[in-house]
Amino acid sequence: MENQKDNFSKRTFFFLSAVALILILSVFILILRNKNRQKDLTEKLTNQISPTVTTQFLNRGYLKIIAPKTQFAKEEEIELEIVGDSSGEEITGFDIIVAYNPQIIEFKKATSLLEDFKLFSFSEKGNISLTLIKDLKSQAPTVFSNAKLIKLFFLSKTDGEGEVLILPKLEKKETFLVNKNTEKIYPSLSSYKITVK
Amino acid sequence: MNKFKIIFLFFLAIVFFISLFYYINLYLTRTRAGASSVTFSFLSEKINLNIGQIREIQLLAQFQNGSALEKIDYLKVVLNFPQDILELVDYIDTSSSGLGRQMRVDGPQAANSGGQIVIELGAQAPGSGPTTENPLILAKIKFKGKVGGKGQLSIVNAQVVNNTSVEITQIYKKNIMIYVSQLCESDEYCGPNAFCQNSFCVCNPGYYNCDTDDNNWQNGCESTTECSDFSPPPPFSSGAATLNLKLKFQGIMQQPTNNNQRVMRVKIKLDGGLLPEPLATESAFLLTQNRNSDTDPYIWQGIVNLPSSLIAGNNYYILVKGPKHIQKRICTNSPTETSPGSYRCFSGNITLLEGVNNLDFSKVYLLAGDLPVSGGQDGVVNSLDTSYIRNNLGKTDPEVLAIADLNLDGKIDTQDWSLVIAALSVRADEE
Repeated sequence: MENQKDNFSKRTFFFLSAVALILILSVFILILRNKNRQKDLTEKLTNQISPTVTTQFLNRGYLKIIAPKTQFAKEEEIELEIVGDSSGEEITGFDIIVAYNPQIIEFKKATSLLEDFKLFSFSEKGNISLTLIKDLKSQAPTVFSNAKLIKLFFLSKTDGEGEVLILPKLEKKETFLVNKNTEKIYPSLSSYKITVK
Repeated sequence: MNKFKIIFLFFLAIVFFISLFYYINLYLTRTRAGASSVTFSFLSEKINLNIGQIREIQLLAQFQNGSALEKIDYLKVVLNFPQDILELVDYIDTSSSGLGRQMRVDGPQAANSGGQIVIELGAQAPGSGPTTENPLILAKIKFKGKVGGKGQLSIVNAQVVNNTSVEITQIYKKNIMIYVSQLCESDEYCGPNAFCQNSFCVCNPGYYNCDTDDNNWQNGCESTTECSDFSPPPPFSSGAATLNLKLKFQGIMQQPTNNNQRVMRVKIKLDGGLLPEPLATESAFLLTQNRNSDTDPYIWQGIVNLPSSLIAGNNYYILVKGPKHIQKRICTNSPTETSPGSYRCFSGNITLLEGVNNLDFSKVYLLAGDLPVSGGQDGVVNSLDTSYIRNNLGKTDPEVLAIADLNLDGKIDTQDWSLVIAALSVRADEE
């Protein structure tokens, strides 16, 4: 009788242990599955948020302002040129912000010195925003190698000294080149000092 | 034996605590960000039909602050309709809802006996339902006019549960009026300046029946000027205001073949009036079949829920920014322009009232050009936007189309290029 009771207890114990083991395993499997599902969702969401080429930001090349002279008389036309180098990158468009002292000089116009690039200029008092985009028909690769890009025309107004600067950023606008992979390239920038007297 | 019992009890304790932890983690403490509210409405502001005529009415759900991660697992809507003038004529089509399990969808017999329709839907499996990111067309319901009269199609009850078993408790409901025109037997029935034609009252040329109740012919066609479409709908929640906005995006001259392109998320910013600071929100807009003329782009329509703290008043202005577009500042309830993109305004003159505010911005263009190239828009049309189109010309990949297919024709082409070039004249977001 005692033996039968002992056997029954043993059987119950093994049965309950097996149930407990199955439960533990099930819980672990469920947790693992849930984690994988969340990982998949996160990956899916990340893909949805940035579905394409995330724009890369590269620091290379330069943009600078040059002119034959630095001193100008009153009411003399001032011609400045923007020269650039893309450090071997093929360029499909670029934006430049130029700032100047409107007390001393007055902006007149800007022209593109690149045959394949059309220029859109927006002038506000003291700064000019220039956007150059490559003609859709032009298939020839464009790599700037100390190339003359834009000519700026100013008129001197009153005596004084001032700088014409290429700004890296102004409000939402930025100075950058864009390569054929739609990557932004931030070149090093410079300024040009002028004197009117 | 005692040793075994201790081990056994230890096992049981572990199982219990792990199960408890898992249950709490799954059902009680998970507070993923989800939609803050849902608005149930119909894709029409009012419905006119004749006796015997069948009209399809679409029931819509729009989520505020929804996300691609949050999915709908369960949804129930109860509608009341005026059974004395209307009858449900067909089984309700819920295939566009994305919820594949019909738990209860009343058919004509059940609905017509009590003037009530219950639509109860579930996802095929937990987490497999539609996301709250975009609006859902829950049901397409076909009614037939029985006798002349008017009545309200109202949403009396609604319940939405997401895939984390969280109920979206803030629910807005927008009801609509339905008018069924009475048949006439003689000209006398139609009143002055009207006549009876094929059992329907028709106004004499130059006269209009502009009564609030379109079925009222007792005073005939009382107006000599065209009726205004505006009919103020009832406020749906005390103190709250909604914008029912119509927009027009440059270049969308044809219906896209891809259904994903029929929904556009638009940023809306409200300022001026009595606001201490701007209210910014984002809403989904649906492409309609309507346009102002055959040469005009199609109109997009969306509903923007504003917080109840908003005070009804004048002098508001609204900034509207599409996902590939330049931000536009709009200062009147129904602005117009002479040439595309030429509308400009400075001082806000928009009047907002409690309830639904119908704002028709479909007569001004929202210019395309500020593409979400680097995962977001930069507020300016520049060489990055033009270069993206140039460098992806001819492509049809969905991820590229999502960024630069401006006319929604399913490919990146010279038309998209031209649209950006045209927008270069405006250049930056209006503030």
